[in-house]
Amino acid sequence: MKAKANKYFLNFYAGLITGILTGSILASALISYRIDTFYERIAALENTIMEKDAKLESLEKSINSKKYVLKEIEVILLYNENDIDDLEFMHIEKTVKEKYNVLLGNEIKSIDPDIITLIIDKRILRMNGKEIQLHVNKLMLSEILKLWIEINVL
Amino acid sequence: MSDFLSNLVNNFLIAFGVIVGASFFAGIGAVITDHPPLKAMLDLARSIKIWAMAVALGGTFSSFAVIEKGLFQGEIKTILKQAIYVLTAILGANTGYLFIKLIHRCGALWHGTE
Repeated sequence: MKAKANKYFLNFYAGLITGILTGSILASALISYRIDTFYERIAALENTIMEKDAKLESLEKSINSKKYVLKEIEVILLYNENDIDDLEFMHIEKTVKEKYNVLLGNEIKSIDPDIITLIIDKRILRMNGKEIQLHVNKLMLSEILKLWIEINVL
Repeated sequence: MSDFLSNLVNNFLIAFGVIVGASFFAGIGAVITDHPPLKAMLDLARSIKIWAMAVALGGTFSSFAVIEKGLFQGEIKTILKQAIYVLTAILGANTGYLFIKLIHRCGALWHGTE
């Protein structure tokens, strides 16, 4: 009788574990893309908040001056889609913007384009075991600082 | 089925299973540790392709031993056999990786239809 009960328990646990594993594998295959999209959206929203905060802070400082000041930073990344994914793209964009955020609210005349190019040019970023080198291809300085940055995975 | 053919099928499926199995469980792990699962699956599948091949061949040393025997004792047939085993294992590992990429592609299509 006891041996029979053991046999049923053994079958039950084997089935339970098989079910859990199959279920989690199926769930992971079906919803993993959606979870990834949520992560990307969260990262994008965090980036937006950080940018807006920095912009607001610097514009508050220069609110009473009538000089031309830097109001926005735009980063255009030139890359091969097979080399980096969306999350890495956002991380690079965030890192670059963080470097230039101090310039927001500064008078445009006081900004030297050569020096701001050197801040990021040939810099190597390390993420997820990858080494990524940045090259500033083009720069446009007006009330918006526009940077065209080429990405090379080393 | 001849030994050679059954070894080929085994090598292919072992390499395929190593990639697919490891990726799925890495995905589950990523969900538990609060990381994006599909990205973890793709990264892992990409990085363990070479190991899947080594696993399929039953560790690297046995293959090297056979290749050495073939080179120094002139058994060209065994070298060719090993080369075909290695190629099949590479094919299996790459098919596994493509399968994980297919999940990504299907997810994108599914998401795009909403």
